[in-house]
Amino acid sequence: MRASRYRKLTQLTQEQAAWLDAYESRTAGKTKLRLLSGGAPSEPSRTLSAHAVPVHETTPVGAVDASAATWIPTVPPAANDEVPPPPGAPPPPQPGAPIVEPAAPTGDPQAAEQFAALMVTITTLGMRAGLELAADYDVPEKLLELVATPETTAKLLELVAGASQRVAVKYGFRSIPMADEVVVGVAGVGSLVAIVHNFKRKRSAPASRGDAERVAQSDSGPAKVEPRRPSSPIDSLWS
Amino acid sequence: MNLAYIMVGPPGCGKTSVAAKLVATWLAKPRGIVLIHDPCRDKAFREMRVHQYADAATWRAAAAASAKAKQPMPRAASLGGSAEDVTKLAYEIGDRNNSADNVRVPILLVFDEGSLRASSGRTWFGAEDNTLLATRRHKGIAPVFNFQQPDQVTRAFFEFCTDVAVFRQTRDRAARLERSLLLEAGELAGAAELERYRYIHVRIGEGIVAEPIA
Repeated sequence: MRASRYRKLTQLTQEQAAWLDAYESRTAGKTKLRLLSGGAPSEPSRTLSAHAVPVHETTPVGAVDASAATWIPTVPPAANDEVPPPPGAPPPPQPGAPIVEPAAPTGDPQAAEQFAALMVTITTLGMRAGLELAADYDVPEKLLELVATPETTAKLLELVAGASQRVAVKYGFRSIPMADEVVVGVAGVGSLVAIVHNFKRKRSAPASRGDAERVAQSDSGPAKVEPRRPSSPIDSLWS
Repeated sequence: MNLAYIMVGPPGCGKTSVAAKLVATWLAKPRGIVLIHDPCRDKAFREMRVHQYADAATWRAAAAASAKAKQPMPRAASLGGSAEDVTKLAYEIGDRNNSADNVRVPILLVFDEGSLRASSGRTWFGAEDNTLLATRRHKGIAPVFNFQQPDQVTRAFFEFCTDVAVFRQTRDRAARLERSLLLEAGELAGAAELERYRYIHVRIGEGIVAEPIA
């Protein structure tokens, strides 16, 4: 251990130091114990350690009247003073107002198959590897686009959980919370991140990671989906 | 000014008490404001008589009126509404008043309940938080985050902060926290046995330190 850290660790209160001295003299030659309490504990800790860890106790704030502290703002903050878009530019997506275009993959089976393969691979590899891998794919932007706000994320989860279709999410101001039991794949190309639901599940219950793994392990390609495992309590959340 | 705090521990362990102490310390200084995202209106802040605003827009309107009339307003504010709006507000105030070498309005930005924030999560470190934590020194903002579980945010989130108060943790969470806080294995083993209202103060890059966080 570095000397500086050891010095900091040994900056004990008088009470702690007194207890530690008494303890060390009492247990001379034996294994040292970690000091866990800010005060003098009646029983030593069960945790073994070569040093003492200072522990602090939260204390009431006391009589503080925050309302008495005042200031005069010198520069009034302006709300919604964002730079206007240049003329002719498409209107930006409004937070809380998801742009959901029900573009379905039904008319493009090749793309659908590609996405299914991508989904399986990425689920297997994890997100980072998936993002790199996805660069090799021509992710069709005609798929659904959402701006990932909390509201649209909820919508997204609803779409995914509803097992309706594949969903692509435009990677915007926020990223996407991913629930393992719901989202089965993540891909990305540039600023586009796609969350892809296995379209084969369209009329079945939502996919789970376990299902995706089974798909990934399938020898005959990603389009095959084994029968779904018996429903679990968590599935009912999304049905 | 380079401060960013995280309090992590189960409900009722004392996270808000430490945050309230930070607020009191902040208000004891001659300058600086406090913005608390506190939609639950925690008792600790109510007892301090922190002025409550419905949301960031309400605070903006009050600040604009105060500036126009040159009338004082409370330095500490408890704000409802979305955490993202409060973040934007703090960032805007910092942008207009502060720079790295001239912080005129130091801002303590408290998120009393980290789970209400949608800008980061257990699997991603959002752009909004990345910007806030990476440029906080330039904007004169000291963020404070209360989390009930260390897994609510990524490891990078912890590494961006300066001080962490570790309250009682399960052993496996303590072990994961050790990695997030750049500690050696076993240094937080005692966190599993911490009593209520007790915490270990970790300073990122220095390790466990003896002085309390506030």
